[in-house]
Amino acid sequence: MTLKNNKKSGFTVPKNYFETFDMDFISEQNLKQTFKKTGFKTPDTYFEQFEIRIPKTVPSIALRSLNKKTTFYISGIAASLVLLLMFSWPSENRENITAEAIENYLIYEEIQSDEFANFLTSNELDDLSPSSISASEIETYIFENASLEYLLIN
Amino acid sequence: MQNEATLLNQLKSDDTKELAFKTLVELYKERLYWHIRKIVISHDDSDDVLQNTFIKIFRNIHNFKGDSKLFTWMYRIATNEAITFLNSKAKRLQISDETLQQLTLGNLKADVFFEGDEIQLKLQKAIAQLPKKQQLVFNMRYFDAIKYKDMSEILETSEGALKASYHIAVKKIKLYLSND
Repeated sequence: MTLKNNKKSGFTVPKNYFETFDMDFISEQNLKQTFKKTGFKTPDTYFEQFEIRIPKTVPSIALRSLNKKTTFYISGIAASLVLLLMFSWPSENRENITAEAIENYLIYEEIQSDEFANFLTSNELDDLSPSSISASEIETYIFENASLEYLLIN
Repeated sequence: MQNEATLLNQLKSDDTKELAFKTLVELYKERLYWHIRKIVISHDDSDDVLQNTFIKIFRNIHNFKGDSKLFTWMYRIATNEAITFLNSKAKRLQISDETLQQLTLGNLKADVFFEGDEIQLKLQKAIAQLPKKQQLVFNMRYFDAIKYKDMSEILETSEGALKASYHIAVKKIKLYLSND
């Protein structure tokens, strides 16, 4: 037998492979042709009338970023909370504490601020007084630190 | 359209910030609205989230370092706002995210701001059965044709993972539609 006469590779494909492949391609095209629009609409002239109402209480000047000390305290409170929950939970169940359980605990158990305060010195508490951290600083912290992955599991 | 760098400089200057912001709102309000609408579904909720998104953009524009495109940065804020909104709404109603989504879809047929037919309703139901991240990827790619490179900046996920995610989402939706 010569090389020239041996024209088959020996490879095969599953039955109807090319037919299915073609159908798959067509159905994907059909999907796009059939479902071009979402079906959502807006009230008439919504976009023409749309304007942003910036709250007047919000200063238009640049917000200062949280300094390292403040960031440390906010992160510290979060860590304290986890520790508080870890040690107040029955020991046999500690390994099974889920994010959801902690979240439910926070929602329904009404943790008091003095419980957090036990973890901080009086100087640290002074630094955390309302006058030292503004709402906008906290918002900036959350804005800069919240990731989509975190939001999706919460 | 004016140059993005020029617009950014104007947004960061106190003298020109307000006017530049109006320009920014004009340029992006529709694109951001439709992105948000596909996530939160209801028009009224989308309007609230869009307002909050632009307020956050206004307050934080000075923090924008230019590491990504301005529009991907804004899309990221809009996405986070929309997801946060849904999380809060579910908590307020004391139901899971999935239940909230089913509830929202159940009301869609009677929604005056939904003009889709049975086919579009079916598609929304098919999208709703995907995990949240796949829903985002599918909507952004399928309806808005956002490039994977840009999507990667918005969702902070690698292009490869996004491509795989989209591929899986399309397969699941085709399967749902063929079985339904």
